[in-house]
Amino acid sequence: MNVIVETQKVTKTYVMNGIAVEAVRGVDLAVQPGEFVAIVGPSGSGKSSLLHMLGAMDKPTSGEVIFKGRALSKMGDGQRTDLRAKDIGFIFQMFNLLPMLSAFENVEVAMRFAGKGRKDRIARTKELMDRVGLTERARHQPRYLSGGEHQRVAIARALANNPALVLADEPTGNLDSKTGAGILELLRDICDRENQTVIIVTHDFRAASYADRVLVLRDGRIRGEAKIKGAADTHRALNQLLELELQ
Amino acid sequence: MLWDIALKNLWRRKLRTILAILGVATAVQLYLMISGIFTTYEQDTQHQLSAFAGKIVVERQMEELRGIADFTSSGSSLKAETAEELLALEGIDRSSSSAMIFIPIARSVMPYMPPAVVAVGIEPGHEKAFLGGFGMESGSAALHGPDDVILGQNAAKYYQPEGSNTPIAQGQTIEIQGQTFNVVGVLKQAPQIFGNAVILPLETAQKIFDRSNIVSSVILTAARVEDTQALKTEITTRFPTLTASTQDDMTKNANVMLEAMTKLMSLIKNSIIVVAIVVITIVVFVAVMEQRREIGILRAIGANRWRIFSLVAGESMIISLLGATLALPFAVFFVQWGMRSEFNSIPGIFQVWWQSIAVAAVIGLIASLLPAWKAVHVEPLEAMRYE
Amino acid sequence: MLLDLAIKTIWRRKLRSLLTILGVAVAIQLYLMMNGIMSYYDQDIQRQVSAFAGKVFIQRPMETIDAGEDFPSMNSSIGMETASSILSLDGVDRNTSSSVLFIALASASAPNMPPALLAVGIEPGHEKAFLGGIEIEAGSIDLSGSNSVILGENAAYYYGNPGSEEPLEPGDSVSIQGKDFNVVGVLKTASNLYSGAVIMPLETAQDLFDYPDTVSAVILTATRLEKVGSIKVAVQEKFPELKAFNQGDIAENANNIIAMQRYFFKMINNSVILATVMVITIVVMVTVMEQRKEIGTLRAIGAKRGRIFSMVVGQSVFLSVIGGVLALPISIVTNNVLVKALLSAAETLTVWLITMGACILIGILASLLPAWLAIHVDPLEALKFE
Repeated sequence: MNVIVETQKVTKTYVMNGIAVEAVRGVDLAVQPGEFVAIVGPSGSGKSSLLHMLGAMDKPTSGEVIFKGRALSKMGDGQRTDLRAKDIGFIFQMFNLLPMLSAFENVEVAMRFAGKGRKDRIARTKELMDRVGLTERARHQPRYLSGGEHQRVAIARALANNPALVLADEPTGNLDSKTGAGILELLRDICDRENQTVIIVTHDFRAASYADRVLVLRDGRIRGEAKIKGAADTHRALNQLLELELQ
Repeated sequence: MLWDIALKNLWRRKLRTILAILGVATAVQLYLMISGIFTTYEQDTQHQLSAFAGKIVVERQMEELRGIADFTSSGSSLKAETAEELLALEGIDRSSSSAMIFIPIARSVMPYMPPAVVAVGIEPGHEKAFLGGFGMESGSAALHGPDDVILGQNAAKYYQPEGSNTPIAQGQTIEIQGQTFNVVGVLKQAPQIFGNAVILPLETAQKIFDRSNIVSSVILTAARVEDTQALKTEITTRFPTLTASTQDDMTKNANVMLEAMTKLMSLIKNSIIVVAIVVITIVVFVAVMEQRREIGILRAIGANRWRIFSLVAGESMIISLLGATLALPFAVFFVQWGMRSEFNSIPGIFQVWWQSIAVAAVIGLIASLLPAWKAVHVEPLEAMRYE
Repeated sequence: MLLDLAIKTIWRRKLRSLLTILGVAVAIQLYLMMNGIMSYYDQDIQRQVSAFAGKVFIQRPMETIDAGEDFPSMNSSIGMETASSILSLDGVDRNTSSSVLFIALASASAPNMPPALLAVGIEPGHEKAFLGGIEIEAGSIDLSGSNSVILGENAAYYYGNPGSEEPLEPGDSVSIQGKDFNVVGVLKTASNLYSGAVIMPLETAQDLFDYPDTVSAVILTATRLEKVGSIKVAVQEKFPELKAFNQGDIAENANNIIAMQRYFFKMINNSVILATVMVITIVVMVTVMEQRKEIGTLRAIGAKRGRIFSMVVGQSVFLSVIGGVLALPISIVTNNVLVKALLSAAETLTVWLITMGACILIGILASLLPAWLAIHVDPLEALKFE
């Protein structure tokens, strides 16, 4: 199978104070290696829930998530945790860096969970800091870093263990447009140069335009999909999707 | 094992961490003091008992009520004739046997301790009956004149003149009940009753303390060690109102007393441990609650449950170990200051210290269980909650 | 007062509050236990001392190094002639005065207590010297028979028929140290000094225990109360190597004896209080930190600093008082087990009140730091983190 991750009729229902909320209502998707996929939708569309399930952090209410040919439902907590350590890199909307560690240490700690030795960890972290352009700021703690710098550290951390899949939850959600563009360019670059599979989730169509393929999610279901690689197509494809979005 | 993160977490909440460590240190210090005092006392008692190997101490028999035998302060009294009869028994080594009289001169501040200073009247020429196991610091172990006296080290300190810092030494004089005595010898460092002894001739003691023709007890040494038991049986048969105690008997008595003390001490110590555990549990628990998000992040990026557990356990154990370490100097200080010269050994405390480190580690572990359980069940999604 | 908010906060963090209360309860229980033991001693001393009102007690002293005298001393020895001289001093009521011989029959059951069984030889006809003011349970205090014996309550049980658990009564015979005696009286419950007493004629005691011509002490009663002082002085002058105790001296001595013990227990109690204060401080402080936003909101809508302060103090006091209340039943059990003396209702109430006072104090102390922090929360600051 060439698919990195796929979902089969996946649903997610939450119960909050006695009220059932169906966040995801049956989603089928499949992502190929090296693809850059964007899942677009307004807030409440269920996109975060979907991402959490793809990232082995949450279990579907029904349906299946299959990662590199293995069904997640058949895995124990230890195995899923291992997956998150070695095969998946997650970038959070709130960055979620550990406040008491420096940027360098934040990236380095992720490698401990993959069992890398100290020398290797340091070498790789240096490499990653370089890659995301933060070598000078590496020793600072998060509170001394700007929003964009936070996000870069988060990206570096996500890449630390050479994961098969990188997931990003609203990567530009908390950033101004210029900084956000920088982040997306970085992600794009990583995908192009290192053939990294990337899935982002966003409400912002401009962010989605960096992807190879865009899926529109609304009310827990995929309403539309478009391949947008190639400049000419982009505008039209996006317009179609926008219309879908506005319906 | 994420120790560095544990340390960083503790450092982030400095005030709280310091308070917790202090709280634990207080508890541990108390624990150490109690244990230290008790251990020192135990050791001293052992040491004292060892001096009675091969000997039999004959006194008036007391009732069997559950009580604590307090050697030499029992007020046992024997007529001189009875003593003579005992000393004339077959099979004893007369030169290492003697009639004795014990008269406390100063009371001990600690319960269950022999008097702080005690006059020991012994037959001149038979000093070995009492002093057999001990060497002299200075002078001789022989009472030649009626005014000769041999002092234990604590007794020597007791009699030091006002304003002086040096204990009485051989060649000097002391006054007892208005009479002057020559110090002909000072014992080496010895436990309890020996260190506290002021040894003088029996007749002199009887005279100055108004006890003519009375002795307190008789210490007998068997001519051959194997005969000790038989000798004891003979005494108890011939003198039914008297009791003959061998080293074993004395040890048994001492154990009864220690047992009583142990019970009380254990109760106190266990309460202390519970308090320490509660303190640490709360602190670590609260820390975990505050760090739900960070724990969620760690889980999200691949830390397994074991790692989270060890993080929490690590914080917990760091607090308890630091608290225990901090407590040691304070405990030493307080015991020495409080106990003054009653105890000669700080070793008692150090012996307990390594035990305390182990206990602290265990406390830290136990205290971490509840918070760790909580932490381990934090889902990765926690990291996403506040969006 | 915002007390209800304080209580709601405590309720919100149930597990944490529960743990804190548990910790406080255990600590306070320890505190109560120490107090229980000490008050047992205090009571015993009271009762012992009150028996010597109007009396002068003379024994050969030990040289004391602030440790107090053994009282009564088993090692004091006074010659018979000396005793007679003392008894014929001016102002002495010969009828209620006597020489006394004390011999420990069984060691004390607890440190710094009198012997558990104590043989007391006293002059027949002068029993009141030792027993004046002590109530009789049954029989009389007449020791005219040479093998008469009066038993204290515990002694009566000890020498009772083995296995029967019945104490001896007047009329029973008993064998003590190999000699047969007739029980002529049994004393009512009294201090430990008396409950273990085995009181017999002086000569009988001297003979039985090998103390010819010697007594341990002399107990004098003054013909008139005012004479106590002058008798004491007279004794010290004529017999400088002996020591005379009046009631006040006895009380002072008793306190010296247990000084060390008190110090030990005080130390434990102080540590307990310290630890408790820290526990509560930590917990309350953390709670305050968590509630920055709420406190900021309160301040923004007009709550004065005093209210915030009292809310935090309220939390703290509440935790510590509940802990104290919980500790009481636990301590009653442990005290009973340890000391085998259930305090009377009145005493228990006093102890309880004192403990509650201590808890409130602890609560207030513990709240000072967190409350200071709470007051300084800027209304705007707390609202910014949204």
